Amino acid sequence: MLSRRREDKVFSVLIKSGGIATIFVILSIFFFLFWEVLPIFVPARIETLKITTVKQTLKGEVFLLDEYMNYLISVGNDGFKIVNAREGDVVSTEIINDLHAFYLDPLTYVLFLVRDDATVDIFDILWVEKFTKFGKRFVEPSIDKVTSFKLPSKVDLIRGVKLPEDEGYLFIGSSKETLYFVNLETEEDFLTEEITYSPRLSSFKVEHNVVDVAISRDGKFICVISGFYLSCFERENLLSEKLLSYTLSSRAVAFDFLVGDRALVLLEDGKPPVVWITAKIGSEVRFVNAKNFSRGCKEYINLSVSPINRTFLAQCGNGTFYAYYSTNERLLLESPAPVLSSPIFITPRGDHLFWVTKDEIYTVRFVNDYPEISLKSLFGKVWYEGMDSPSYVWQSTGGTDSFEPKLSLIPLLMGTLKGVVYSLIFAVPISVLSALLVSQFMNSKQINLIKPAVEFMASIPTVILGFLAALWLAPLIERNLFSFLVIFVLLPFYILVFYFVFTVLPSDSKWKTIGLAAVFIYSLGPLFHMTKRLEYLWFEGGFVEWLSENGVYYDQRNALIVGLAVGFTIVPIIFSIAEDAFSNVPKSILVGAMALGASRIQAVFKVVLPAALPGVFAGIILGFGRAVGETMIVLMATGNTPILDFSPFTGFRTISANIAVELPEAPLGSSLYRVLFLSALLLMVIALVFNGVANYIRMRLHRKLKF
Amino acid sequence: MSKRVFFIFVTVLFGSVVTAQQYKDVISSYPSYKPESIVSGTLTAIGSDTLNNLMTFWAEGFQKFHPGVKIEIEGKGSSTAPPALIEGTAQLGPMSRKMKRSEIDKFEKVFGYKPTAVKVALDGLAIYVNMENPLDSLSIPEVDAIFSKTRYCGYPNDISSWSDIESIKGWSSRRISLYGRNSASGTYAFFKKVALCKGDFKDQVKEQPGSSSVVQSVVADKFSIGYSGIGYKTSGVKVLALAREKGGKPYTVSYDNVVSGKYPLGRFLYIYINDPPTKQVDKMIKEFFRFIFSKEGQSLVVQAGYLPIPFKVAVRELGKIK
Repeated sequence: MLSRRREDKVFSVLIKSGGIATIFVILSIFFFLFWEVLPIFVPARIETLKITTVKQTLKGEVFLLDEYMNYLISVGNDGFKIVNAREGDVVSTEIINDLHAFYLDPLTYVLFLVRDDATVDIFDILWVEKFTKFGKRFVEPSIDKVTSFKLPSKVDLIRGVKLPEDEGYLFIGSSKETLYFVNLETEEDFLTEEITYSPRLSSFKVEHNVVDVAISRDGKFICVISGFYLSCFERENLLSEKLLSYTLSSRAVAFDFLVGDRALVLLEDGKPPVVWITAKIGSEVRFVNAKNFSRGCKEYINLSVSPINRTFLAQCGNGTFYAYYSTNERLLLESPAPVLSSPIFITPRGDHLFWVTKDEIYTVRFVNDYPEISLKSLFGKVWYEGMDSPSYVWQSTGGTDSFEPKLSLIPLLMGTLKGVVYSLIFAVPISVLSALLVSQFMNSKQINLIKPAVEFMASIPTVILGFLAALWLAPLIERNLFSFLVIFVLLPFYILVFYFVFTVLPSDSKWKTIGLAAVFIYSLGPLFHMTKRLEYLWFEGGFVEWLSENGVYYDQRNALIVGLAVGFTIVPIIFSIAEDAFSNVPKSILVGAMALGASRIQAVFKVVLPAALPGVFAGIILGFGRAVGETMIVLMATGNTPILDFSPFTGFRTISANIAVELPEAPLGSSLYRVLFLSALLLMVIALVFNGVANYIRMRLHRKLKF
Repeated sequence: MSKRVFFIFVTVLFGSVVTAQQYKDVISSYPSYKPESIVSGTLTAIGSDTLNNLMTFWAEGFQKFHPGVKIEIEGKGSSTAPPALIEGTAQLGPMSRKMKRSEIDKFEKVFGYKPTAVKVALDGLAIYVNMENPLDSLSIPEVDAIFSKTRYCGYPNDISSWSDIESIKGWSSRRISLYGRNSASGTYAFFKKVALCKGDFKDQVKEQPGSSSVVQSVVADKFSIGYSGIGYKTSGVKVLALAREKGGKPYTVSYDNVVSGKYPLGRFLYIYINDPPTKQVDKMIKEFFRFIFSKEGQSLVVQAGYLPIPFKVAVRELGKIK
């Protein structure tokens, strides 16, 4: 007696701890996902201010700090200096007495100096890699003169870039209404590998005095502010075909292209920053004002664009600075600067900000790891660079670092939903009706044949199903789409016809069943040919062609195919649970209903089905859960196109397939990595909510239908 | 899932049988590998991720002849090769692009001479269409207009249907069914950079997990177009000739065209080494390159899905190593 009680106790503890362990595991999965997602909610911030006192007075106006923040390059009207940014010693000084104008491009590390005699000297700023004796890497700046070019007349303003892939240099010099455009093209000697530059000069006249010029770093676009007018051009059509014309309302302080060369930022006093991006308007390229930013300064001091992403910084005269992200129009940070009225600069890695006064360097760490993630970019419509309108796009990776990530979860959520809906449309009627048939109308011998067969369906690896769906079923259905659709719709009626014949025929032998079944199967062939004939007559031979001429796009890998394949995997799940539910309805109810005069069919549909509904419902929900998480079939049979439509003839991309495709290559801790975890969390929440709702409905139905 | 496992998985899954047959002539022009001497030691390669699989194949093949050689391969991207060569942490720097001038300058500042670039294999991306498609050639701006929604290469209109392509007007009014690689692959990035001029893919591009699965999809889909490595060509697909500009002369993916750069989607794969002009290079490195430029080594190139380099070029490349 005692041992039995002890046994009970031991098992009850075991079972309880098993239950608790399950809950614990689920919670810890949640916790893990949440933990991985958490960092994206932390806003951008600055921390650890460091101040270095420089041992000489700096007259520079523009500054560059290397990625390790060891050396500061200061360029001013008197020449340039290299300063040890940790110790404050001036390492080298180059005094140029006849310096008239200069420009330092912070992204391509090139320095242009205009001398009094209209000569333009071009310097490359090279970061020479060095290693400490402990093997730690650092860089030393080396300012090397590349070439010089003499302009026809002296210019007051110079802007220029170093072109990618060693193609050479582009610069524009201007004074008053004259613009000189110079392209220095690299030429490599075939034998000696010596490099020379062949210059091409073109000059232009504009209507007003030139205030500022911006050149995109790929050399494709050039924007000019002259007087109060801002206009942008393609390099080839300089000053002829305007891609943008805008009238300034107040003083323009700075303008520059962001990384990627497809977005132009302008700071105008008293207004938030304005960003134009290139867009395709019809067959033309235009700059459009597609972004709205908040805040802004009454009086701007300068603009600094990040070398690594679409972050840009604006410094105000009142000592506040703002950090913005272009893609999602996010105000990342609003903060007081450590010094009043000094321009703000960003380091090459985009992880530090600095200000330089006459004798001090102020640096702060700029923590800005996930600027591209915001509610707007995840769930809202965004007008991305180069596109023709705002849209929901998922395209997370690019061929280059300057790529603009597109991380909208909407196409993925819609794709998931689409996949589930199409597989349920296929699976629910088949599985529920067959469960009804098996449980209510079959004898045990037949059940023993059918049930294992259905359950075997569940054991087929989804990889095989996906493979078959993609490479066998998809082309097959594309060729016979019309026949497939017609037969799919007509088949139930066709079966009814045979049922009618069956009841009309007098004989009772089993040969009647077998014979009719044979006729039925045999007749499918002619039926198929008939549909082919009809397709030929009605649609001039091609239903799919007819569809596409009428604007319905038929993609070979589509929701219909995946619906069939995923439906195939969830049929056994819904079937077995529904079948259990039907079998568990007490026979007495059925018998009672029939005793009261109901026919078998009436009894089944009016009594058994409602009574078993909670169970059926549970089965459908389980099938739903399975379809949401299905990965392999979707991965292989849809083509993973992140599109946004509900057509049965196009593909989709689900959250689960997306994770499978992209997670292996997502850099650890990157925005993409976090967003993938966020989508996983979302998937779990969806599954949980649906399960909860389903359970609630099931309980209510259960209570309502209690007998 | 690690990348390698994924790669193997996908290869097995789609039964990728790379046809070594196509390049038989080129490979048979190479002599079989005979070691000049048996070497031993450790070889480290740091660099390209594209070359990772091929380097692994070569390492395994090389070790069969030289059991005493240990080869370590790290593939994090071509940009990791130059620093590794400068620091001396690697003797081999596999790269899927040429070194930039700044990288060469850095190397030169340390050693006083330039690094040696050895062309070890060819990679050609091909544009595939179904065998029944009458199309023979396209230009890069057209390819861009077919695959991209940004059309940065400058084609004025979108090409979404086969009837939008003038040279085959009247063939079909069906929409073009697009196939490509998944975003994790280097092929995707290369295609995006060169054929889309750094633009964005259309959402309708069906991303396939493997190179051969792109080709198989094109076989099964009459109205499709897809891009994949040239090594995956099968019967049932047609490889298009490509022109660099609209109206330019299209070139097929032949050796000569890839080698000369006339075919726009071809590139060399390199191994950079530190070969001092005054001294002999390490015997082990020399043997390794002799293996690469042998019948065995170049067959492995094909096995990894790339193109072998012509024997003439190989002789020249091998001659670079003193």
